[in-house]
Amino acid sequence: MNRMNWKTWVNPFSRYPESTLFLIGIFAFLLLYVLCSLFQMKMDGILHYTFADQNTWWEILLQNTEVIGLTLLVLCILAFLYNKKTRIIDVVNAVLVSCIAQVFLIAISGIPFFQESSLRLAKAAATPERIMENKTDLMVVLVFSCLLVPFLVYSVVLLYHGFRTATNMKSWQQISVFFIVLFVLNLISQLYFF
Amino acid sequence: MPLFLQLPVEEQNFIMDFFLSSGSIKEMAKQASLSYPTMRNRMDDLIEKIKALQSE
Repeated sequence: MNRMNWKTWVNPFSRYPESTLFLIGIFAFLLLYVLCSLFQMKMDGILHYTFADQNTWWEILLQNTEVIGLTLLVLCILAFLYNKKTRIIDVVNAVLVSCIAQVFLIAISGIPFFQESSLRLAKAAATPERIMENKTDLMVVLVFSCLLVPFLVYSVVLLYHGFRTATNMKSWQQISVFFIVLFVLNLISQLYFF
Repeated sequence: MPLFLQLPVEEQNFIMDFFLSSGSIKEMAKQASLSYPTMRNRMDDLIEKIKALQSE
């Protein structure tokens, strides 16, 4: 059996069969849901989460599933426009496996210290001069945000490699459209689930 | 020179492997320890290359 190396971590889609990737993806999605329920957060975009203080465990699961479903729908349409031979399972795996990195995002975001600082800062955001009064909270949010960025990047990298493997997209135009669609989709779903 | 011989050795071997696996991309992927879409993409790239050579 070939050894895993850094390339496998960055692009597992080139090596593993779709059945293995699907199981990993489902596991990642369920683990993500458990952490969301634990830390009272929910997806409102494929790359964005919001607080879910008023939501039940069922509502969190439903919204997470709807976000994933919407992402899959849009990316499948784009995938078939790029390459008619694309298999739906490969796009599904790209989206689900990218949830692995988001598990760490939620785990870090859920740290009470960080959450409390974020909430205080969000409340102070209404009056910008008050933000500078909360220097400690500002530092905490900045430091933890720096920890979050690598996992967010990793999630996007996984999604990109998964989609590229599924569709064989090559040209810079196709890649640019992919990222634009991802960005716009993230924004639109945040507005829809607001 | 026949089209097949205009290809690099690697690609000639790829085509032979495809033939010997009875035209099964799935089987080739399994033997090469690669995923099905990765092998399919290589196949499609080679097909495009051969079509380009044919039209020359």
